[in-house]
Amino acid sequence: MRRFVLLFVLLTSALLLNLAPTAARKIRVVTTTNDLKWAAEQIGGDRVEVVALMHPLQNPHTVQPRPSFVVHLNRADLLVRIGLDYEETWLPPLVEESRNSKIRRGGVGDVDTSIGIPLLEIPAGRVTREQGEVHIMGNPHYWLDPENMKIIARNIAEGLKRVDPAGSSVYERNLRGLERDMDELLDETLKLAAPLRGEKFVAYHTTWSYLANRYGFRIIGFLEPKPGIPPSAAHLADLIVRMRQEKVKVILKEPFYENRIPSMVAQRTGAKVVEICPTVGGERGTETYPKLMRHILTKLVNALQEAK
Amino acid sequence: MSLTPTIYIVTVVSKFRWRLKHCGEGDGKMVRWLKIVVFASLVTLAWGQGNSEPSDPRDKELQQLRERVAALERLVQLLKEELSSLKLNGAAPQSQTQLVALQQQTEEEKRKLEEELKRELQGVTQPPAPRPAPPSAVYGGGLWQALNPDTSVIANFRTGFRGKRPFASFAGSEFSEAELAFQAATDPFSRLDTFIAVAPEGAEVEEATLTILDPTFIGLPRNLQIRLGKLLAPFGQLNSIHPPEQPFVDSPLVHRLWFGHAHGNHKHGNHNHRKRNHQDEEEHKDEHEDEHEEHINGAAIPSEGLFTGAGLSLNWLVPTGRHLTWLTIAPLNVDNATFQTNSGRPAWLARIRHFRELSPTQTLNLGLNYAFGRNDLNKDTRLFGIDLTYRWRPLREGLYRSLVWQTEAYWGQRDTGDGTVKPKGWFTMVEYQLSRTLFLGARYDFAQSPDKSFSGRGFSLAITLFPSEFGRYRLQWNRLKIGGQTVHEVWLQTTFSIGIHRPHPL
Repeated sequence: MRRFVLLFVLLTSALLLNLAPTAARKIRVVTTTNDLKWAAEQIGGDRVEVVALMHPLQNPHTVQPRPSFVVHLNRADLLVRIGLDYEETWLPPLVEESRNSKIRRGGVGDVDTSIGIPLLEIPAGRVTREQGEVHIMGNPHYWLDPENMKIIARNIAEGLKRVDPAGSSVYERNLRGLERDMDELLDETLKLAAPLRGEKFVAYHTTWSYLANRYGFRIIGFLEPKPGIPPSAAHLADLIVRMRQEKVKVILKEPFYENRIPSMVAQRTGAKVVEICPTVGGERGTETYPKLMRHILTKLVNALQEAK
Repeated sequence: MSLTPTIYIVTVVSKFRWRLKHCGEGDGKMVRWLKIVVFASLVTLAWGQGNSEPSDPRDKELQQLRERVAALERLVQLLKEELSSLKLNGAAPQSQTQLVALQQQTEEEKRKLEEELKRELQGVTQPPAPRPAPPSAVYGGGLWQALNPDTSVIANFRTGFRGKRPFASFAGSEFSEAELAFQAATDPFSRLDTFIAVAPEGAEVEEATLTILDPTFIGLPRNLQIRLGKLLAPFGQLNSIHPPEQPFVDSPLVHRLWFGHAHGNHKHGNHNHRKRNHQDEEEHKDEHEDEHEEHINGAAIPSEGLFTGAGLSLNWLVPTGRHLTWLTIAPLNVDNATFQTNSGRPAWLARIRHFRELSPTQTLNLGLNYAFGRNDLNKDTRLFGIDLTYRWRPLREGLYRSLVWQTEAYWGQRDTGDGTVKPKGWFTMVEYQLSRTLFLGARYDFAQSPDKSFSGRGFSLAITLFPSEFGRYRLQWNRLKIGGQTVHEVWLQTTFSIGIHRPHPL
């Protein structure tokens, strides 16, 4: 009997706490990455406070959830995510654990920024795990293209308008401003990246497909034999031969991948290894998205010139 | 080259051709004509070169036009590449502006419709249905297949050696179990998770839980989560993980002795046969010879132990700053070596779990556990437990390095009618990631049987290779001392999963 009374008291107090009034406050936005955080801040302006869950130097496939993630998600008005299957290994259980129905799939505060993106590398035909940890809905690294950043921003603006209709005009105005900025950034970076057009590179992972597509260079091979599968000696041997034949002089790698294997390949091909973080804030001088794009392209151009 | 000298050259060349046609070979006039033509051409070319500077406004204009044409050619090339890329990737050859406009139009239409419907539905009490976000694209298999639950199969195979020395005798190979999982949201408010363990002894529902994710629709606070069905009991941290996903081939001794079920009756079935007499033991000796179980005092000790029960669980999330606390209360119908709820009274479990963030790379999980219920003698039994889990994963090298250290200790108070027996058990284990694919684990554990008739302790070392995220090979050595007998075991385990299996990140 005492246990039932205790249970009743607990439930009643929880109900009363839940009914407590909430004071007027900023819209709480939680994003999974720093790139989305930057975009949400540009669109939301002073009306929002934004928190990014992932550290920019963290591999999205090995995110170790922390209690603060659940705390932020529990209080969030809007969750902005890359979507596809980018955060699939860790985000959905955390969203459920957060007990916040607004941000669950299909909820009013759920923003999937991949909606409307012209996706690359959508696997054709039947997908099996034989293909490695293939992204079954297409390559999710789409933010590395200013044209796509405009679509991301539009999705965020729509989400903000849903949870805060009073700020619609502000979000719309900020969105137009961001679209103009992205057009200017694209013009500027196309000129900056002109030396990359037609050049060939090798990368560790399929992170750079959208960047290559926009700026006209080619990734002819990857250190991983298949996405998410560790490099094998046989695969590396094939890759080295191909790099020699095609005279590839630069290997791209993200900071969260090891140095040993890129260096091994570089030693045998005379190529230069360039470490680039694909996320805002991962390196000094990349605190904003435009700075990140300029930084990445400058680093690539310089690496190419040095290698030649 | 400007127009005037061109006309001049054409005229001269025409005259030359006319002369060539009408004169015979070796004609001296012909040679002179040829000299004149060559000289005139050189003069014309030199004059043309001298005037190549766009001093004439028309020339300047022409030059600018040429540059613009070249720029346009480059642009056309760029657009062609984009178009072919879009076609290759199966996307419709629409411009991004068109796509955005289309999406905007759909959104606008949806908003208008919803407002319209809201007005019509005014006065009718509706549950707070969440407003749908733009639907995600569905690729392949048709729209209806997208509604299928996440389905996965985890297959577990084991080969073992057991004896007084490592590899002393081959204990046999077995298909340990296949865990079938079906998981999906039932509606916007709840989800269903079903795990079925299929073993050579038969199939059993290991967990089948309806979780109410949004209790606000029945007026309860949103931080309260209600789970109904057959659950993994909220007792300790390791017990929240299904056996095939645990870091060792077998469960710690305390789980095996307190929450496990011996083979031969049912995989996780009734435990009453644990108290067999000696005659029964002899009769069943052959039956058990090739099974991976230790036999002490007539009891077959299973290699796995999972504390499950049917009932209800209320879990309240208490955010405390950057940290989290969960309070769980669960009345469950339990049937294992410690609790028997055939008397009609459920076992009551309570757990407080505090999850603390030490740094962006380190977390600490502390749990306090309590359980109260009836034992096989229809007398009271109480369990107390404490668990501590430390996790470390560096930010940059998270793919290659990590560490998990987990310790759990349990104490029991078992009323036998003649007095109270107080068994205890604990284990500590550590798993360190050596490289992207290789993990090394060590475990030390001790446990007394629930009736304290015997005790055991063990030391285990395991090395696990993950060729990919979906499969693993594990080699484990156990040195067990149970009831005064020392046994060495060597296990080789292969575990593979197919389908979509939801992770347990917390």
